[in-house]
Amino acid sequence: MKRRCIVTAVLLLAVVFAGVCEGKKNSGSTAEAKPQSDVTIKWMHHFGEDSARQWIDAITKKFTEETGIKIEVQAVGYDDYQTLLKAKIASGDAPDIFDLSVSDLPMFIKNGYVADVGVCDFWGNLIDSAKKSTAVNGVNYYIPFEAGASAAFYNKDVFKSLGITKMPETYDQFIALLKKIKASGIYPIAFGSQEWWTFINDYKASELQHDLRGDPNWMENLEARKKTFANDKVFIDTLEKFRERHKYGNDDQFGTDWNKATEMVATGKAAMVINGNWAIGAIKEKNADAHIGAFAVPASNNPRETMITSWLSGGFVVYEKSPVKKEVYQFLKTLTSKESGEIWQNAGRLCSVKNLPPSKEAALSDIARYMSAGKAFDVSSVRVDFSQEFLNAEVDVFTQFLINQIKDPLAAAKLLDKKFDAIAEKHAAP
Amino acid sequence: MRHRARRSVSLANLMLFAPGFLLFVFAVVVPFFSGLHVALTSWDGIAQRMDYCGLRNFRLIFKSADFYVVLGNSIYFAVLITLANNLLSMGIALGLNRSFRGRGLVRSAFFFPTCLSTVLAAFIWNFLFRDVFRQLFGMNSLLGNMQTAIPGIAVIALWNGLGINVIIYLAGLASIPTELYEVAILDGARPSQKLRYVTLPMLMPSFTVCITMTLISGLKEFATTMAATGGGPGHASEMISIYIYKNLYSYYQAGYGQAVAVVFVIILALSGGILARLLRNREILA
Repeated sequence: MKRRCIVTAVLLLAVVFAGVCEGKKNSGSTAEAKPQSDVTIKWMHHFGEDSARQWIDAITKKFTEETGIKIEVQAVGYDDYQTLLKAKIASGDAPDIFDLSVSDLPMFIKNGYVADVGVCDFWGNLIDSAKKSTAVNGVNYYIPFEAGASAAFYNKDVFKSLGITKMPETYDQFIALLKKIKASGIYPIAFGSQEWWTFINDYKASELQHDLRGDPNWMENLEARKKTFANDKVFIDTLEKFRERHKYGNDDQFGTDWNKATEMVATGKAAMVINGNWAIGAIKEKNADAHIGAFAVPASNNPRETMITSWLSGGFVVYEKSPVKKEVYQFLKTLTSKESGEIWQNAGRLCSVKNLPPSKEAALSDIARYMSAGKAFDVSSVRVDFSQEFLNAEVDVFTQFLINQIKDPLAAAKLLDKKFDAIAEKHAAP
Repeated sequence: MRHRARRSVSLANLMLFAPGFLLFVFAVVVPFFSGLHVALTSWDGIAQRMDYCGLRNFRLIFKSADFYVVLGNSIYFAVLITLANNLLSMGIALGLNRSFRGRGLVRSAFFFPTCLSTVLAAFIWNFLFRDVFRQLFGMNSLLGNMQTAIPGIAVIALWNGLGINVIIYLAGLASIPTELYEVAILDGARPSQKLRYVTLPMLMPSFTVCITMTLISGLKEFATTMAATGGGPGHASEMISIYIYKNLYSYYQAGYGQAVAVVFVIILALSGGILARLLRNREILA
């Protein structure tokens, strides 16, 4: 019995020893293959599109292979994103890197949750104006990786079939173009206004430029109630024009969502959609063979004022109290690398990474042409969205105006003022 | 001796009562009072500190035109869904209470939509309203019109939630003694008289449960609206729950949002309590 016990013990020791040796051998070979690290960066985002998620997979994989630092990515639906982010911060489980819209940024700055990324060394990867144009009071809180442009994105085949070769440069030419398309039985513009952000971005594509030309702090001043909508003749004029072009849209605009609107352009039922450059990907998802072009939407009869709206804004921020801030800063170099920019661009998107080859996408080339001709209205350093509650009031009044529940633009402006007054009082410090 | 025994019995009874009571304290009482505390602050929802602002939030609520709009929307929806749900589910239950071939299958068919998630139901009906109804009847989507958005949401909620009330009414019908109908037949009662003088009075306990539950869940409506319209077009279908949610999570007005939630709890408790009391009184009379 005793001998059996000794034999068993010896065998067990042999097995354990062999295991330890094997483990050492394996760990040694792994160490040769790639660096090891126990550090994990937590990244939370709300990108829903496959192309964006593929970009995230590619760059995180590359970074882990190069550094051994793991990245735990958490993708959250846009609707739940803010809720979850705030809950995570409150419970001490904040992600190290996350994305924030420009309108949400002030609250996070005020509470000291976002780090100053101006000290990082990735800025050299981005176009020269990126750092200066996206600073908030001289401090860089976010990485303006994504660039954007708002314009009319049209189905080239539809335009070709109607013999349209010249893009409109004045408001009158634009209305004439819409009339011509409508006469052919095709919807000139597809509106997916069931989702409110679509018509807010539509407004940004042209009308908002005119509001901001006279006063770059137009939004701040309206929120602070230093000026009013009712006394702003430019705003009232742009509002009227905004409704005018909705008359050339599809039926049931507020019962149609973005998905359906872009499908209409992809299949040639509608000629164009006016929105941000993400429209290209959305149209191509429905018809990969669709030929898409872009042109600036005129909102005045001065051709020099017809420009696309472009920006470098929104973007990734780093959590101020992140325990792995140094590693996150290291990751930002990979995120802004040329390789990363190329993957992003190939997905039909624009980014601020410099020295990228020209895009193969015709609509993006059209946008690049406007930019190089100086016909881009850059709003990177200007507020283009009201804060959430003010924005909701804007959505409400615009909706009532677009469906003719409010007929007079001055009445719409007065209602906006009334709502803004109430919200400003609510937001004022007690 | 007897006195001590009685005391130990009552202590044992209290011990049995304790788990439920503690659960109630931690799940309801503590959150309610901590919520009340937040309602008295100007907390933005993310700051580490909360600044006390007294009753300012409550004053703002009663001054706010938006609050009355969303409260009106919630009441409109709750009344609509309570009437439609109870009339329909009782009618269906009366039909399904008869014996016919395939009754089990038909009962399951009526209950099936209840098993689907709210988001899926909203997606299906969005498609039906937008594409199918347009092709069949040439009508615009109910959800895309400010006047018809709430009835449109009610249709989705009705389809998605009708089955539960059908089951409660079926259970109520099954519990009515057959002798009552036999006596009514002997007295020469017509079918409509049997319904009026036997079925409906005997169903009063089911009415109390179904009407109260539907009204309260109608007032609390959140998920279907959020999935179907997000409160739009404009604010046309924004219910009070969505208003609270937006203040808490989007507008950085957590203190105000919490104050609205407190006011809403009081409205819910009052309306539910009064309605249940009224209906129970009818039960006693029946």
